[in-house]
Amino acid sequence: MKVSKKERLGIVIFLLPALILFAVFFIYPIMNVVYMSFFNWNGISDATFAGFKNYIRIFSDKVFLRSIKNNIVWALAASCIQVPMALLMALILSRKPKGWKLFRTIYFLPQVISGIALAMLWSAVYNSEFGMLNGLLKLVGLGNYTRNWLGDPKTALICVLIYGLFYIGYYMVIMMAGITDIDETYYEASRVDGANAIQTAIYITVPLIRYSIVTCVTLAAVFGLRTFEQVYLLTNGGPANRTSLVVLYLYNQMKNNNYGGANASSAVLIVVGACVIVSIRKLFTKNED
Amino acid sequence: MKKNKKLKALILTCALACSTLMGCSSNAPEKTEAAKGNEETSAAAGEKEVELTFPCIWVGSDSKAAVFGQMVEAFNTENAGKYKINIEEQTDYDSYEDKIRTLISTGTAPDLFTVKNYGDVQLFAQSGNLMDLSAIMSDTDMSGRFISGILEDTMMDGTLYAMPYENAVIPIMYNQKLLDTAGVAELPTSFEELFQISEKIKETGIAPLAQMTGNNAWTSMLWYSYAVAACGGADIYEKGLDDPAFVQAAELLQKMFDYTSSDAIGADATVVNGHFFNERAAVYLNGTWILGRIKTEGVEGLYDNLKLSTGLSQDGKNGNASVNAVQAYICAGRQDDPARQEAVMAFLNFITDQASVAELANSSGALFAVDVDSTLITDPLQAEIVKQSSEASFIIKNFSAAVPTAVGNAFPSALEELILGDCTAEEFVETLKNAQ
Repeated sequence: MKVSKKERLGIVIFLLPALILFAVFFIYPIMNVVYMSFFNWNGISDATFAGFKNYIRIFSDKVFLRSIKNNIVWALAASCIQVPMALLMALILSRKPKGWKLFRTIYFLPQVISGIALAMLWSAVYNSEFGMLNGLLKLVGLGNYTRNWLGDPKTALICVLIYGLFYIGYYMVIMMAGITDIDETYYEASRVDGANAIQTAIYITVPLIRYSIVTCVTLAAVFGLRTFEQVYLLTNGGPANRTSLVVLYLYNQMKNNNYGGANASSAVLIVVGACVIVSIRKLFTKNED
Repeated sequence: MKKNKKLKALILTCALACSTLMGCSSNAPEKTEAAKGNEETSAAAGEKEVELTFPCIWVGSDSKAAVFGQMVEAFNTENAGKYKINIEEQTDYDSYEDKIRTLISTGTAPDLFTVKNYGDVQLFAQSGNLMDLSAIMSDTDMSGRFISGILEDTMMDGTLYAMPYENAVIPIMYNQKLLDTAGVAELPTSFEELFQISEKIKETGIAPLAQMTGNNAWTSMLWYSYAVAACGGADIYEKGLDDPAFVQAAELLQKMFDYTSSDAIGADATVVNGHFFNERAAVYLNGTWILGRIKTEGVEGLYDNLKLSTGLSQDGKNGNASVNAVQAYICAGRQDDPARQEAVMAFLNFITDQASVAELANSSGALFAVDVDSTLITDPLQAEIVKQSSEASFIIKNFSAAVPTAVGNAFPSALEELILGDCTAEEFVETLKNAQ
């Protein structure tokens, strides 16, 4: 289709506001972060050029390396545990069993509850002195296994991860919306062929909501990489930085007035995030080809 | 009939308007004779009222809000037509810090603002956007109101860029009832004895010492401050982190964690307060502002069982120290207009009036850098804390206030490494040094 000069102008005019906003609030800040990562700056006095010193400093800091490792664990856990859990629930609830609307609401409810309230709840669950988890363990005669869950390096990251992965409502709703769009005739055909519920889910539903799943996996990985509030509120990166994440690390750099270090860690996070998104896209489109 | 209705409506509207106007006039603070005089003099001289903005955190539910607000109102009334302070209410401290930092870096510092720690004062002073407040030093009436040496401690290269205002005095608080249960008559005066009585208290199922590593590790940082004072003496911070006293103090702190609650690692102030307020911990460190909460949130009788102590000694040395730290400095943005400089100085002079500060201390439970006679303090424990501090062998800053901000921020995670056995006391101090 040939686009006339007049139409082309119209397209440009309509695209321009979005492009300007994107450039001002996304492209420019990212470029500025990368640029400023080559400077030492305390937020007050003039910035001085530092070359790659900020990068050398953060990559020789064991806390930063641990933060990257934790971020990768977090992103993998979100993609490989949280999304499949959400898919399973979406498959079950989309069959509309009794009370499915109630369960859909219950699963989605944490998304609209303040993160602070949830963190306080989990903090109370894990507390070693009067927490619910230790209370339950004592009740069933497993008192020997009680511990300071968030203060023990062996359990802290797992505990924070469980809190992060527990809430599947967001992804579940995306996938349920995808399932609703599937044409009923596919299911009728499968029923005629004698397929059971599991076979229908595996061979009909999952392939047809493939793009919803890809979206959820991408979102889960990206959210995993930029996680901050759960860790900040529950452990603040402790004990001894065992649960530290890159965003928390850069926040601490800012608290120390080390904006060069904060920008360098942000730049690394942007690169890691871009790599993860590209890898996920490649992985799914490769199978498509 | 219709005409009658219109007339009634007109009368009611007039009545409402009059009452509103009268209400407005009665709400406005009554001007004193001096204020009226000021207004007339300023008007006669054709001077414009100098207005200063003060983004302030002592508003809303802050314990100092009511009385500090009254002080500002009184200043505005007394100086009507001459000076006026406009308070900008700031309720979120983190946003407030960000705002101040941004304004200073862009050369638009507010006329008046507060800063929490000395490290930030030093940083902001580098920008050249802070007003020189050294005139306080040359005004003997004003400088004489402050606790001895506190203004000198705040100076940078002979210039005063910030006026110390809220000053935390940190006593060692203990629950005598819990000590009695363990057969301990009183808190000893040395760390060596503290560990002995801690064994006894622990046997009763109570955590002898309240400790925490979460957030800023406040309580444990204060214990470390007392340990540093005991190991190194009054001038320890001048010697720097290379002094072995910091390692020795770290060893003491590490040992203290043998006598704390099982949730100390990762615990925040809420947890620690909960233990002490509910008689699950016997000895606790915090500033005087906590006394009000102990009264209202502590178990029945806790406040009456509360006893106080100053610092403990180590190896028979450096006992009876008092850990203090300025909690809030008042700074002013650089003023090129002498009239605005005068207004700033007049306001600082006004809010350091000893009687007003005593009232502020009584209402909030906080203490101040202005030397207030302990007899003016109504709360007996708060008064005792002031008295103990004034009689202490030496006053020393808390660790966090005495070191650069980055070192203070590194303390909690370094402490966790020490307690979890990831590092030795020497390595703990090394981590702090590396954060500088």
